[in-house]
Amino acid sequence: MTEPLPAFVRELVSRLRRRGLPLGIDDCAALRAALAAGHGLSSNEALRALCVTLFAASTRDAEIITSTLHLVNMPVWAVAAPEPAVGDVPTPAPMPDLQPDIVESVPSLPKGEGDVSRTVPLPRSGGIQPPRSGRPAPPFIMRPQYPLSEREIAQAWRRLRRPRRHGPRVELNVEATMTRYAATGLVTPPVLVPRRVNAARLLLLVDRHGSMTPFHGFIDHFTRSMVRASRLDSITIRYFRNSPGTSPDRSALTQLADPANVEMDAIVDRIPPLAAGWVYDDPGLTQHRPMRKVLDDLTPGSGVVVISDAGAQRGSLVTTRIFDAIALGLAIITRQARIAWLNPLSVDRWADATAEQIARHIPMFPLDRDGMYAAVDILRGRPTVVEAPL
Amino acid sequence: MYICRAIDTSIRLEPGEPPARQIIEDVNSPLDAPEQHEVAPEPYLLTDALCEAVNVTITLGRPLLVQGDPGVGKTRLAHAVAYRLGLPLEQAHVKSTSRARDLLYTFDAVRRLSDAQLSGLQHQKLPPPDDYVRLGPLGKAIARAQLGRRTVLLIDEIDKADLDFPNDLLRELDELRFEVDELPDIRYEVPPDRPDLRPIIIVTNNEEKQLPGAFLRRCAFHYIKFPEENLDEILEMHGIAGGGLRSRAREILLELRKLDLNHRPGLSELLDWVECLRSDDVSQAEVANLPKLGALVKHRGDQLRAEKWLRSR
Repeated sequence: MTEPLPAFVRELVSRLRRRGLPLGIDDCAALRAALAAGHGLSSNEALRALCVTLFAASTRDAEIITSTLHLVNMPVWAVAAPEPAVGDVPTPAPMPDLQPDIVESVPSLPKGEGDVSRTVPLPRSGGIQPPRSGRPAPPFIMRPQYPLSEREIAQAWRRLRRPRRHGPRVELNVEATMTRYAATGLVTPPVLVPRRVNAARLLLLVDRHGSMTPFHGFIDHFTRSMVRASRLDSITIRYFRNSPGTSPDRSALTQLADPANVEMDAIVDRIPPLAAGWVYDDPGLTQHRPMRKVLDDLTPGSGVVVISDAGAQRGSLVTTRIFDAIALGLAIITRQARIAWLNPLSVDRWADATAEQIARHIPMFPLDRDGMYAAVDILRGRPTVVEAPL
Repeated sequence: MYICRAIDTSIRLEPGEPPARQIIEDVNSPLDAPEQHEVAPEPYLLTDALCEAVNVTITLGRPLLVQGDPGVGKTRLAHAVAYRLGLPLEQAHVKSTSRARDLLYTFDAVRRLSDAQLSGLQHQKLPPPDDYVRLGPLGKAIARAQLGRRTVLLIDEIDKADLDFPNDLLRELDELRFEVDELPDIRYEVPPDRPDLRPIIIVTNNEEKQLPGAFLRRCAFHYIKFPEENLDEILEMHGIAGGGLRSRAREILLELRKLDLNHRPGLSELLDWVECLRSDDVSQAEVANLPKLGALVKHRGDQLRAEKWLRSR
């Protein structure tokens, strides 16, 4: 790898890395080796197909790579494209001296139409170009880019593990077998134990509509990635509007000494755990089910994640919402489950909103990489570090 | 230089007609005394793009990760590649309980323990420990390479297994060698200077679960599209004679695939259906009434939708 990289590789790699494909030296080496063996030289399409084969891991990646390659100045190789029969090349193949003859000086602004010898697609940066009918235009590939990539979500939530031995007894426990044999001296059957499986269960309570509307796409991406990527025993997703339940008995609120003070520390022990309210099975909020049933399905040790802006989007501060959130937290804790709250807005937006007050009682984190890691830590059983734990 | 970095251009998969018959090593015969047997041709339409992807994986020695709708021929690809290249095909069908080591070898410790206990009582000699090692598909592919012969390895539906499964294979796939942990003297490896003996590994993935990034990074990738344009050709390859029935069935499949179905019928369903229609001598005119719908559409809801579509035409 002493020769300089062809310019297009550097541009391609940096563009793809920006779009979340973690390409590295190995990938460049693989591309180089494949080119040296004669793959992807016959046309730009062949090179695109080669890059997809080497770098992609899903159809989504393939689309990103194809669309990115349309933005990169493709090389025109100095070597003639090899015939389809490459089988006669001896093994190991000599590395041919492949210096792609990059068409230099591609101007950033398109010149006049006179330049017919051009073989590279024009860079798109040069203002608006009228649609042309003569050439097949590269397809527009619209892919949303969210603040969290699927990979980041997967990495964070895969840490949520509760290994338990469960299922059929198939694994040999050598130590126990030997101990038993040594103790009895008799011919004994081996001691078998079940395999370890991940017993972590998760309930996602997702706020929908209202101030959460701008985040629908992002949250759907988040839940989809979690369901696909994390290998939990089960993930249940339930949706709600504003609050997953309404406490029927809010009489404790009247016992607040100063009605203007929204801090509920004084009455927390008098708030009844949430037992009423409705949540929905679908994001459209059409198929409802009682919150009590959802809570009763919680097993000890399972995790609950609430995804909601808790008024931070509009800066609203509603006492009853704080009350209901605390009631929800209490209901979860009494079932020996753990709760973490993920807020799609950053911490500086929580101030003076319901979110700030809820975060004093329930561990709340912004929905970013560090926030997810912190939430997973809480769900794994790390002690909560909130101002007034429930 | 690692074996994973060397280029191999000794063998090339070519599109076009496959050979009429092939004599290939029988994977069930002992590794040190291989037997040959004749393998029936594998009808498979190899597109140029698919051929190129397979050739890239052969060149670079990476596993080829194949994705695509159910029934487009992901698994059959390995059979077709093995047949055309005249190489034995080792198959690993992954289950939810599969562990990575099962692909390399299994050590029957339970049998050895009971043998040891009984031999102590009966004063018999214990069989040598390597009798209890049984090589798995990847283990056999590596051991065969050590003996100078190449293998095509299919790892089918890798996403069915636990998250750790692909991760536990990283080192073995990189270095193409392994030791038997229970018997450290037993080790197998593809000779480092012989990239032309590397097993050609084809991994199919149904995208039920996300595979770990470290594994994906080491794979080459190909997405098999549903071969809408080549359906006629594929049916012909499977010995379904031309004529009205074939083209009618093909048209209906393409129409059904446009409906909003839970599970869109794929190639395997079409082949089953046409075979079913042919064996029952269904006439061309009757095909439009969707007889034997169960072979084509397998969800109750989808069947109702298909029938509704039939009435609306």
